[in-house]
This record gives sequence, structure tokens and C-alpha cells, in this order.
Amino acid sequence: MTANKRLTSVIAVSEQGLVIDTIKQPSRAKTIARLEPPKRLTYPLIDRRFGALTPKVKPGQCVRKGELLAIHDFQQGLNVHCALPGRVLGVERHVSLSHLSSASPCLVIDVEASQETHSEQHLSNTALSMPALHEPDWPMIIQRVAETGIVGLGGAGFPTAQKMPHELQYVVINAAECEPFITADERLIIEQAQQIAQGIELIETAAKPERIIVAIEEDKTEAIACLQKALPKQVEFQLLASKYPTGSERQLVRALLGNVPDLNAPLKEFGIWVVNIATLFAIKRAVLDGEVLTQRVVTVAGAAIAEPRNYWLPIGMPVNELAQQLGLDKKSGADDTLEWIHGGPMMGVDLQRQNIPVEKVTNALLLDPETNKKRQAKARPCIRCGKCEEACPEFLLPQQLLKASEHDAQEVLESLKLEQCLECGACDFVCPSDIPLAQHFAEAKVKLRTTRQTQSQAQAAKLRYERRAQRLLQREEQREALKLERAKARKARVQSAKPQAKVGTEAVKLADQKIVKSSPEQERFETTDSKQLKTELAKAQSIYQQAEKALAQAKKQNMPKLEQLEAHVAQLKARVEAAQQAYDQQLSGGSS
Amino acid sequence: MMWLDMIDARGLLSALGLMFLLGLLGSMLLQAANRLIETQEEPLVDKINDCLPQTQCGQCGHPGCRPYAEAIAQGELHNKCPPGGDETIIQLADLLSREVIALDEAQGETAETPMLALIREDECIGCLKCIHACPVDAIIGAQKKMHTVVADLCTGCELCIEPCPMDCIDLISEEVYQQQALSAQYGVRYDS
Amino acid sequence: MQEYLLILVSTVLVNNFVLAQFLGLCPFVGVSNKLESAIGMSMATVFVLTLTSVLSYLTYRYLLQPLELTYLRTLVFIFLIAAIVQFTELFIRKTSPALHRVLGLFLPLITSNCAVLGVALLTIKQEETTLASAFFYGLGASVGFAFVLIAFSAMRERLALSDVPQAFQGLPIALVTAGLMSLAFLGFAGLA
Repeated sequence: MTANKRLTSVIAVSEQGLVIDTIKQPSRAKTIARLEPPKRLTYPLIDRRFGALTPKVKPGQCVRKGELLAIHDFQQGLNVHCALPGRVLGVERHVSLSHLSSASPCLVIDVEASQETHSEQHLSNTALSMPALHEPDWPMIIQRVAETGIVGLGGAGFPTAQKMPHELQYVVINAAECEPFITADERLIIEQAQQIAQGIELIETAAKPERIIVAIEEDKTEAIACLQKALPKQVEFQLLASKYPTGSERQLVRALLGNVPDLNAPLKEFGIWVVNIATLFAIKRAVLDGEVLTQRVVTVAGAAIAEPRNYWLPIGMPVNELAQQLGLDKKSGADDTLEWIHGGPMMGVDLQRQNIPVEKVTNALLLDPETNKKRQAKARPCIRCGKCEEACPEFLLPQQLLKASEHDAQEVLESLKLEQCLECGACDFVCPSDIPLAQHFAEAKVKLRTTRQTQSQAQAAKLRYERRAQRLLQREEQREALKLERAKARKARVQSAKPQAKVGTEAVKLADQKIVKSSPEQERFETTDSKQLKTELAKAQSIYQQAEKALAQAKKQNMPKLEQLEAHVAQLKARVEAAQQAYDQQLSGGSS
Repeated sequence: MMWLDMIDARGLLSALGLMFLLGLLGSMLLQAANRLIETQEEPLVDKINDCLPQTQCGQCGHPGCRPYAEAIAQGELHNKCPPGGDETIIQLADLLSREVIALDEAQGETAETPMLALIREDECIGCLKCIHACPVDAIIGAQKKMHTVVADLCTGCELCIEPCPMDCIDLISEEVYQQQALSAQYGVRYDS
Repeated sequence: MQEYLLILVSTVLVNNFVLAQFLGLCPFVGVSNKLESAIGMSMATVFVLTLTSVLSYLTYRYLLQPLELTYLRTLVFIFLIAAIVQFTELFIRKTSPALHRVLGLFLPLITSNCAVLGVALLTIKQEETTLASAFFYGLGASVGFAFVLIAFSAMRERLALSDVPQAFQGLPIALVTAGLMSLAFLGFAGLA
């Protein structure tokens, strides 16, 4: 068999971490079952990361299976589709996974009574679906993934289309399901290996990546065998040591590809795509069968469950209805102090007896008294045993982080690399004082984020304030400049008008004076002194010139009494000529 | 005179002379060092400004955070910022090696949660008064057109509330704002 | 060469000025709240101490002894130390105002640091002091001081985050820690 050649040796994702009893039996051996359809479907409309969704249906509207119920204005991957045919009841306030203590708006569907149950039709499209794509190219695949509302089904629920690189180089298919009790992905592999293989082929043909690696834990022997039979030759297998935690994206990339290129940049930029195997299955169904995401495999397990098993559950089914169908609710006589946990015993969220709906990220629902006891145990003081530091897979120092978070010392938290914490809960598990370490760190992370947000908002406010101050200053300066200009213009206008008028009247006055003074007798220059004559000449000339200038300006401005002025000027001119004559006479002859 | 004989005149003089000379030498060297070494500029005002919350509310008595930062650099007390609260006082005390003192209550009180301004749009007449008052340009609008506070940019400084002639600006907490936004979007009532 | 190494080991570890001879405790406790200020202070002290040691040796050997004014050594040494510290403060104030602000009052207080005067006086008490041995003596003393100061401040930063009983918070636990460090350094007694 060529299969053996493909199997590589077992590697551990991290040198530290826990080896724990995974309690995967008996659910890993049973087929995935189906339940009766629920009476209600609830779809939360507020995404904790991206905000509010807009409903696309109205109250009272009849909706088919697969109908688009709500969309997000900017994030296509958050589309919500209806899992079963029914009628829209409207938007009600309801609890959900991200709003456990305060209800948030949710779209509620009343499921039709007439439903075909237990049939394979639930797996294929009975109502609304999209056209199947034949030989699509990579961008078409990404678009289809976004339209069908596919998010990461491995736990985090990030819109998958956003993480698919345009230039795909490395695909890591994450089949490591490391938390105890959960066998959803494992069973899916065993039952649907063929379809998964088709999905991988689809990606290979469309994007032609350099490497495709399936990462799976070594103890999932049946699943490994099924995959080996079904998958094409080029797909690599990497067996992982059965440790907790193993399935974290960063850890896998570090272990399989050598190094995480940049802790702060998304892997997409480096052509790396880590995809959960259940998500891959959903992608195949979306592209090749046109199916939108309306259901998923959920493990229902725990010591309080008589028959731990996987189920195909419609997304939106309330947990209480699940409990009822399994005979686990109060009416059936179950212990009502038990609380459901959404997810696994390490990273799961305590539902606090709230009736939340199954969401796209629900991979398991646990009812395990031991886990509950450990979580509810009262925290005792830290005894500095150091077990948490031995358990941390990222080689962090939980003890120091705890001290720093208690004192809210944010620089210390940053220097201790709080952001690298996976919140896996390994330190919680080993702590002999039952301190809820992961919870403390999650809260500290939120505080850190809030501080950063406040700081960046303050920076933005500062920038806007400075720009506004600058703008106001500029406006002031412009206004001042304009004022000055206008004042200057006004002054210039006034000055150019006034002096001309002044000169005109003065000239008239001057001319008047001269005329009064000068008489024909006085036109004769009686002095014999040449110098005096010269001065007289100069004087007469200057007076004449002034008068002429004044006349010219007066003419330009159309002043009255022009004729009088002209007469004066003519007289002055005559006087100049007389003076000139006298001077010449004096120069040439003697006095005669 | 006997006591004169007892004094070691030479030793005394040499001791005094030595101290004097050393003193002279030392002071000369220090003076030289003072003149020769250049002072590096330090943007202390920027560092102080970074500690302030940038609300630009004016409660400290200065028209904005930067003027207050400049005043602090000149020696003004660092306990006049109510939006910054005790945290800012501690940060400033740390930065300037001053004492941590209580907030000057005369300037105002620290709000418990961050507040936002919200305009009741039905009553807005479009007079531009609040837009001119906002120190961070967080209100958008034009004359005779609707005015709206951009929630992401509002610092809760309360400077827009007074100028409004219709008295239609409310100061609400962020939580209440979110709830109002949600109920407006989905028509779901919040009875809190 | 070996004797210089011996001097260094002796002053840094065996007869550590802070933990074994209990000199210079004021800056030791006063500046060790933060690692940043501790490092700045150590560098300043290394400079001052080494220079003091060398200069006081030179002054003693070539100025005081020939003039038979050895009784003036305390005065003269204090004078030298004051001048050197003034110079250091000047230098720091001009080149790094941030560090100057961080160290604050403790910089001029190096003058009254008994470790500095102690080094000056102890240098000349050694048998067969040479310039080199004076240099290494001062260097060793200051490096020992710096080493202990930095280690202590790192410990104090950790202590600030730990669950210390209220009666011990702050100075008391710091002194207890210093005492324990002192005990630990007794282990070096057999080295030299």
C-alpha cells in the first residue's frame, strides 16, 4: 500500500502540554445520528466580533430550508441561513453563546409541524440551494464559501473566506481534535472520507498549492485508515502526538512548516491556510452540491449522558429541546443541578443553565459532573508550585501572569507575552489550588485590548483637536490677510483720489495767486543780475510745470473750472517765456 | 606672643592655599563643562500630553489638553484633570517625580463610565452651534441640515450641550447608547 | 595582574560594599523601586566612584603627603567627590534630561553616599597602594554596588506584584530581602 509511505513519524506540537485521558469512547465508535427537528430555531443577530446583522426576512414570512435570513453589511461570511422550513416569528431578545448574561436580539423561526424526519434528505438540498459549480477556479470557490456562510467549524468561527489566501501555497487540514470527549470531526472523517477527498481534490485543482498536509492525532486509527484509503497521493499525512493542546493554528504551522513567519500578521499573507476538516467538508458541500451551511456534527457526551454520541444538529436548535429529546431535562427526571458546557471540558463555556441555540461553532455539548465540580470549586491562594509553568504549551509563565493580572500591571503582562496565550486551559487543569487561570487571562486580555483601544481613541481625538486648531488658526490668518488687503485697497483708493483733488485745487489756487500777483508791468524783469534772472526763470518754470501737471490730472478727472485753469496755465507759460527772454537778453547783450 | 609661636604658620598657609587652589580649579573646570556641553532638547510636553486622556473638555481651566500639558511643564499642579482621574495623576506623578495628590474636586468629578453625546434629531434645527463648539470635530452636519454626533469620535467633553439653543443634546453612557442603537435597528425594547 | 583580579573579586563579592560593609544604603533602598532608575544610578555611581578613587589617591600621594597636610584628607576628598558629582549631574542633565528626572534628588545625594567617601579613605589605607590598585579598588567597589543594586531592584519589582502581608508591604519586605541577600553573600567569605 502506498499509504504507509505517506505516514510520517509522530511529532509533538509542543514539548510541553498535557497527556490526559481523552475519554473518546464510546462516541467515536457510533455513527452520527439524527434527531427530531426542533420546534423553534433561534439565530443570534449580534456577532461578538463584527457587530450587528441585518435581517432579510420579515415577521410572518414563510421561509424555506436554506433561505437567507440575515446578512452582515461588510462581512459576507457571516450570512445566516435557515436550517428548516418554517415561519419567521420576529426578532426577540434571547440568550446566546456570546450573550449569556444579557439577552441580545435574535431571529426566531417557528418550525413547521409537517417535517420529514430521519431521512437522508436533510443532508441534501430540499429547498433553497445554490447551483453546483463545475470546475470552479479559486476565486469562485472563495466567493461561494463566503456566500454560504461558512465559518471555521473547529471552534473560533472566523469567516473562512477571509482566511483563504489568494495565492495558496500551503494547506494544513486540521483534523486534530484534542479535547476530551469530542469526536465530531473524527466521526465525520470515518463516515464522509470520500466527500472530504473530493473537497481536497477540488482545492488542489483550483489553487494548486505546493503542499497539502493533513494533521491528525495518532490515536485516531480508524479515521487515519479511512483517510489513507480515500485521499489522493499527493496529500501528506502528519501524525501528531496525543497531547493537549494540539490543534491550535499557530502551533500546527510552527510544527509542520517550521516557523510562524510573523506573529502579528495573518497567515493568509504568507499563502498559508489552516482549515478544520469539518469546514473542508462544508466547503465541498457548498461548492459541489450548492448546499448552504445549516447543520453540523455535535458531540453530546459526558458522564451524565447515558449514551455519548454524535448528532447532526440544525444550527439554531435550542439546547433545551436537545435535552428534552435525549431525556435529560427536568421533566424526564434528570438531575437539575447539572449544567451544560458548550465545547470541551478544557476550553468550553459554562452555559449557566441558559437555553442557548446551537451555533455554527458548537462542536460539543457536555454534561459532566466532574468538570462542573472542578470549574465551580473555590479558588484557593497560589502556592507557587510551578505546575502551570510546566504545562503551558507556549512556554509562558502562568504564575507570573496571574500575579500581574491581579495587580493590573499591563506593561508586565505585555512583556510576559500574554497575547501568545492560547487560553487552552492546560494550566487550569493542573492547578492544585483550582485557580481559574484561563479565565483570569481572558479577562486580562480584554482589559489590555480596552486600554489599547482607549489609547488609540485618545490619539485620534488629539489629532482631530490639533487639526481643528490648525484649521481655525488658518481661517483667522486668512481673515486677517483679507482684512489687511481690503484696508490697503481702500487706502490706496482714497489716496489716489485725494492727492489729485488736492493738486487740482492747489494748482488753481497757485494759478490764481500768480494771476493776481502778476500784471503786465511785472512781466518785465527789471533786474539786471543774471543770477537773479536765472532763479526767476527757474521759479517761473517750476510753477508752470506744476500747473501743467495739475491741469493734466484735472483733465483726467474731469474737474470743473477747467477753462479757468487752462487760462491760468497759459498765463504762466507766457511768464516763463518772458523770463527766458529777459535772461537771454542779459546773457547776450548787456543791459539795454 | 606665645600662641603665635604655637601656630604652624607655614602649614596653615599651605593648607589654606591648597583648599583655595583646589576650589578655584574645581569651579573653573565645572564652569568650562557647563559652557561646553550642549543641552539635549527633550519633548517633555509631548510626554505629559500623552498621559492626558485627550478629552479636550477644558475642565482643567485650559482650552484643551495640550495647553494644560504645557502649563504642567511650567509647574502647574497635575491634579486638575477629572476625565483622567486618579490614573492620570499617578502617571504624571511617575513621569515628573512629583507626589501623587488627590484630584482637585473643584474642577469636576470623574465620570464612572465613559459618556457620549447624543442629539435628539427630532428637535435639531441645524444651527451649527454645537459643531463649532466640539473641540474634536465629532459632530457632522451643515446649516439647516441634521446634526449628528459621530459616536466613535465623541470624547464626552460636554462642550456641545450648553450652546444648543434647543437643549436637545443628551449625555448618555456607552451601554445605553448601544442599547438604543440596537432597539432602533431591530425594534426590540430594552427595559433597563 | 592576579592581584588586581583579587582586588576585584574581593570588592565585588567578598567584601561587597553594600551587603558586607553596609555602606551606601540610602540609594540602595531609595532608587531600587524601578529597574530603569537602578541602572541609571549604577552607571552614575560607577563613574563617580572610580574617578574618586583614582583622584583621591593621586591627591593624597602627590599633594597631601608632600605638603604634610594629610590631616586634611577628609575635607579634600569630600571636595573632590562634590566636584565629580556636580560634573556628573551636569553631564546627565544636559545629555539625558529623562534620566535626570528619573533619578531626581538621588543624583546629588551620591555626594553624601558613605560608600564613595569610604572608598576614598579606604584606598589610601591599603598597604602598597598604587595607581592601578586604586583604580581597581574603586572599579570593584562600584561594580559590586551596581550588581547588588540591579539585582535588588529586579527583586523589588517582583515583590510589588506578590502577595505580601499588609504590614510588610513596601519598605519592610524590602529590608528583609536585603538582609537575606546579605546572608547569601556571606557565602563568598571563603573566596578570598
